[in-house]
Amino acid sequence: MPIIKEFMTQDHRDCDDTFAAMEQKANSEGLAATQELYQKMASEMEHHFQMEERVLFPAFEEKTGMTQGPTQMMRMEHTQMRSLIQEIGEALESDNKDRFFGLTETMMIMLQQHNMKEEQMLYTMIQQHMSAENDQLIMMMDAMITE
Amino acid sequence: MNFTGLSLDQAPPISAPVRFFLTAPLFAMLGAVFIFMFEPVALMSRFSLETITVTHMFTIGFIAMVMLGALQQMLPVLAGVSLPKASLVATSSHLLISLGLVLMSIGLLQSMKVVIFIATLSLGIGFLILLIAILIAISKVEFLTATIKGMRVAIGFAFVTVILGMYLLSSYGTGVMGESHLSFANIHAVLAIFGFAGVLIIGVSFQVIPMFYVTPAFHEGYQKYLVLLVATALLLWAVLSFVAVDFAWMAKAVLVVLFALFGYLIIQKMSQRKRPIADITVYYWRLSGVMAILGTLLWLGSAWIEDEVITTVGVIIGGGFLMAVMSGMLYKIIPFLVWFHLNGMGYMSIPSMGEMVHKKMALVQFVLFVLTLALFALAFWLPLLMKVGALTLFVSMVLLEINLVTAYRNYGETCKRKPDFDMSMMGG
Repeated sequence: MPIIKEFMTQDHRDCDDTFAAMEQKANSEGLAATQELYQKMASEMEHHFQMEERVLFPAFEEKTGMTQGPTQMMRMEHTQMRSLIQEIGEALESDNKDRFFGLTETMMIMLQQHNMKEEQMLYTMIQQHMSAENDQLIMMMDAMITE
Repeated sequence: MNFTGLSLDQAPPISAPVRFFLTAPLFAMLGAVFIFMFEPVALMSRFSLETITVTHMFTIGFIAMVMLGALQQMLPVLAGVSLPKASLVATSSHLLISLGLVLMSIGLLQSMKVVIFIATLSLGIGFLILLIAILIAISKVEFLTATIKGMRVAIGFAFVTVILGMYLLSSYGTGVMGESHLSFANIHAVLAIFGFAGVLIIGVSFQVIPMFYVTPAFHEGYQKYLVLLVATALLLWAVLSFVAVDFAWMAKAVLVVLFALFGYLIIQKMSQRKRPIADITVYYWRLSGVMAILGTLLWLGSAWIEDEVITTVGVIIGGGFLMAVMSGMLYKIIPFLVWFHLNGMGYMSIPSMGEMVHKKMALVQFVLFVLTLALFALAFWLPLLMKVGALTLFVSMVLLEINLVTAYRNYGETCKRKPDFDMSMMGG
């Protein structure tokens, strides 16, 4: 069983790769051909957000009593990214390439700085507090179905 | 447990770093005006007052301005710490450095001793306030990454650079040049360029290049040892310059190899991008990678070629390597800050980053910048080209300022217009 920090970090990289693949497709074959990869990207991201919001963060908050701290900030950034993902979808629908790439650039940086905070700080903290529940949490996240 | 930096409320207000970013092209414009006014012959000599003045318009006015602004912005994001008294520190240090730099040029060019002293104090205090604030913030970092370690080393070199700079500038005020004046000047210059700017760029690029362009991470060996080796080579070089000057070239050669390697790594990373879009910032990174290699190799060779080639080395390393990286980063940082702050305040209908910068204008700006580098490099053989280069540089910096201000204006205009304040965002 991997440790939480590695498991979540790997999921970040998988999301990054899908995101980059989507941009590449849009660049080489146009927006019309990108719909499928967009859906894949959106659902992978949503799955990751929910693993945190429904499993990992509540467990951490319960254990440490920190409900207004870093997890709350990360939730707000998830909201920001959800709206970006939706806007990217709208740009795809209206076949607006400039808007699409303008938004994906914004999303990419938003995503990366968010990942960095989680990987370098939050996951490290979570690992320190939750090592006893490591395997159980990973199984729950792995089995979780996106709502 | 310290987690302050994760909150947008704790991040510095957008005006704190942006005032540094928007001042940078203004000083570069002033530098271009000076180059146009001065006799090319005076600029060929490394230690003429004209050369010293012009150089600092770019090193302090542009390069240091951007680095100091970026450090304030990056520490909360990359390290989770914020500067103490962020607004006060930013305002006062920005004012003192800007004022000090203007006074320095007046004092040196008009030989006004009192003005030189005021400039020394103003610049020194301006730098030290911000450097100390950064040091306090960094000391609170809990999770040390290669980037944070690089920042620490860079700030260390910045302190030495500033102290030496104050000593050197004040000696133009007293008119008493110690016998080691030229050695100190040399050390000041090399530590500023490779120690402060170079190490900071290396450290930050470990994190920023994979993040902005989705490239594979830098090899762990580089992340662990590159900054350490650069710092060691620099210290060794500085010591050898005093005790065994005949051997100093060996440390210099190591330094050159390390920076040429870093230049190669930049070029390599840019070709490993998973993001397909080659925007203006990719051009700037590639340019800086090539120039880092060219510039350092020429620097090493300069000992055996004519001494005057050192000004060309300065153009290639200072302009081609350092200013290029800074310009590229400005095109990313300002639009992102505008977007991030507006979005964080709850505005939804805002332009994306890509829509804030006019792509053709940015490209023209870049081409003029490259042309300027070529003209300045060729001016070594044909001094008249210096004047032409001053013109292209001036226009390029005017365009840079326009492009950045255009992006930044989205912030003020959206705040004023309040298009669609979405309360649901506030609840998270």
